[in-house]
Order: sequence, then C-alpha cells, then structure tokens
Amino acid sequence: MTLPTTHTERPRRARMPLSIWIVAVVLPLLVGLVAVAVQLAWLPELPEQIVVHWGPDGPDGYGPVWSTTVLTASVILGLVVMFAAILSIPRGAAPTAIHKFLAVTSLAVSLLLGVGVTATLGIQRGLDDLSQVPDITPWMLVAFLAALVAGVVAWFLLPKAVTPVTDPQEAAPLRLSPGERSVWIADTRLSGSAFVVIMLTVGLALVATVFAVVVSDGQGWPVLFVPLLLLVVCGAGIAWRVRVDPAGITVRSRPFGWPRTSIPASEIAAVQTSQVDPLAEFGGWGWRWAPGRNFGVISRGGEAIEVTRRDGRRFTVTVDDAETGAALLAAYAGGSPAA
Amino acid sequence: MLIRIDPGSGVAIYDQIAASVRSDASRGVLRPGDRLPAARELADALDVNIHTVLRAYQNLRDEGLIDLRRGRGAVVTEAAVTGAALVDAVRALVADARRDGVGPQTLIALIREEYPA
Repeated sequence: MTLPTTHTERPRRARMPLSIWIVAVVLPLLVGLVAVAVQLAWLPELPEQIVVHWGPDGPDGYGPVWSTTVLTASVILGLVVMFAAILSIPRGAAPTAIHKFLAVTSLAVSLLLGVGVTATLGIQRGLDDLSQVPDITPWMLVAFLAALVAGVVAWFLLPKAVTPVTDPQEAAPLRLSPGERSVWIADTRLSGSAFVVIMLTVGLALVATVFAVVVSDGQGWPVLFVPLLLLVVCGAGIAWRVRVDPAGITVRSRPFGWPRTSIPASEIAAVQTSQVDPLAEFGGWGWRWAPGRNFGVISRGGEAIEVTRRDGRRFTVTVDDAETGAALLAAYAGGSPAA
Repeated sequence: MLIRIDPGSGVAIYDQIAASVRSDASRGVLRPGDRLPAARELADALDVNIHTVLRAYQNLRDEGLIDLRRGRGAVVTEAAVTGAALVDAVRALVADARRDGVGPQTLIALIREEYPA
C-alpha cells in the first residue's frame, strides 16, 4: 500500500517543564482552595442575602450567600482545567512564549477572581443593612495588582521561552504543460483536541453567564449574548475548503462558504510548506493573526501551505497533502492570472 | 485532491477529470467515504461546463469508484483504493522506461499489448 508521502515527521508531543504545571495548575488551585476556605470561615458573620454585583452607582445585584462560594470554586476549577487541557496539546519544543503566557494567565486570573470575589464577602461581614456595604473599588485594585505582580514574577521565574521550529521548505512547482488548467481542492477541519478546548471554553463562558443571570434573578440577561456570539464565531471556524486554481488560492469556511479569503496568483511571491504548531505560532485555532504580518487558517498542528505575498504579508493554512497543493500554487504563482 | 486538465492533450476533458480522481484515490489522498467537490464547484474551478464534470462523475460511478446519491454528492467507495498498490509498480515501471529511453507512447503501447481491453 502507498500512503501519501510525509516529507517531515510530525513533532513529538511537547514536554512542558514542571514549573509550567506549577504556575498553570498547582498555584491557581491553591488560590482557589484558600479563597473558598476563607469564604466558608466567614459564613457565620454574613447576612443571608448579599450583594453579588456592583454597577457604576454602587450595589445593583443581590444573591444568596452560598452563590459566591460556588462561583469561586467552579470558575477557578473550570479555568484551571481549560488551561491544563490547552497546555497538554502542543507538539514540538516547549515552553514557547505562548505556553508561558497561558500558564501566567491561569495564575493571574485565578488570583484576580480569588482575591476579588473573596473581598466582596469580606466587606459585607457583620452587616444587617445591605445599603451600608462599602465601596468595592479599592479591593478590586488590590486584586488586580496582586494578579499583575504574580503574573510578572511568574513569567520571569519560568524558563526562557524557546522559538517554535517550523521547518519551512520551498515548494517545487508542479510542471504544467502550456494551457493546462489544474485544480487542487482539499478539506480541512478542526482537530479533536482543539474542538474539545474550544467547546470547554464556550461551555465555561455559558455556565458562568447563566449562573450570573440566575443568581441575579434575571437581571443582566443581555450578557447571555456574549457566549452565544462566541458560539457563532467558533462555528465559522470548524471546517474549511482550500482551493488552488489558476486564479490563486481560496480558503472558505464550510458549509456556508463565508467567511472566506483568497490570494490572486499574481500577488504571490513565494510558496512554502511548513510544520505549524497552532498554540506556539498562532495562539490557537481558527482564523488567526500571528506576529510578523502572518494571517492563518489553523485547524490543527502539522503540515501547512505558507504563502508570501509580494508586499511581504504571509498567509498560512494547515491542510493534508499540503505538498501537492503548494506545488500547484507555486506553478501558478507570480504569473498573470490565466484567462 | 489534484485534478489536472490539459485541453491541448487530445484526451477528452471528462476522461482527464476521471483519471485524476482515480490517481488521487490510488495515492491515498482520497479515502473511502470522502466526498468529492460538488460538480458545480469543480466546473467553476476548472472553467469547464458542469456537464463535463457530471459525465466524469457518472463514468466513475459506472466503474464503481464513487457513489452518486442525491443530496450526499459523490462519495468515494472502498473499491476506489484497492488499486493503490499498483501505483508503486507503475512508478517503478515509468522510472525503468525513462532510464532505457522508452517514450510514453511506446510504454502505453506495450501495456496495451499485455492487457488488451
């Protein structure tokens, strides 16, 4: 049996250093535990109904006292699971700057939530009249500063970031006979692990918003549009069709054909194949921008077609049998669009 | 999948489309259950009449390489990939012919002689 030739082997699953797991998982879980413990210890001193939301003019959302503790525990746990899932996917060298950023964000967000939410309970201890609740703003600043300082310190304590290896190779143009009109069409869809992470993120956002709306007795229901919008945006980034023809390269979202992007053959300066690490280079999946004027449609790690335009902008699409597609595109590139 | 069309080759366009699909299946690029692009999309990309593409798809169906179902489009069958082992043999044959200076027409004639229709 012949299999499609893979010219470069897929890199091995990345081994994150222990320090990344400590910053991304262990410390945030500790923060969550301490926050929940402190909140439970304060329970006897708290009124049954408490302020759970502050608007520009002071308290505007009320809920039962247990809701805050449940929210703290579930959101921090959910966030840690999400960051752990994302960090267990990458292949190749680690930790890259993006891996470090994810780990540091996990710690910073858990501190922001842990300190901030616990403080909202702390200032309500021993109060009978909820209108006497003091301003929360100073504590929010404290939480923000704690998150920022911990994030910066953790960043510098973590090992130095490595640059991802992409192994770009110039595509050998397919030999075309004069007048030949060939077409290359391939479908590409989100990898299973990426799909799980994205659904986890959207699910977490949805649960948190529904919880917030329920606890506040339906106030703030327009917030529900946020996860719904997220769902629609993610829906446009699950499957794509890549087409190379004499006119150039076109990538469309499926099944609606929109959003789409295309590059005319006459604008193409170079065509390469490369190995893409979605997190390290593009910080995720779907329609992505990366540093260095690189735009990409990233469905998974592995082989990709990389196009450089005449003005220096780059476009990357991950797709199976990239070598064949790149070879045909290279054959059409730079020429005038075929009539 | 790669579909190569050379209008100057003298071979009917629909035969060229069908041949490309066959070779994609043999290379392992198309697997059983994969769906071919809609005839309209392929016709648009190749700049040929949609009936040309439909004719190619019908020929492939008659050979048992694809299933054509209303609403589902053209789906690659198990039978399409069974000839895959031949591709290596053909590559080796062509390499031998090149080395010995045997032209493509002669090689095809030799194969016809061995394997009359």
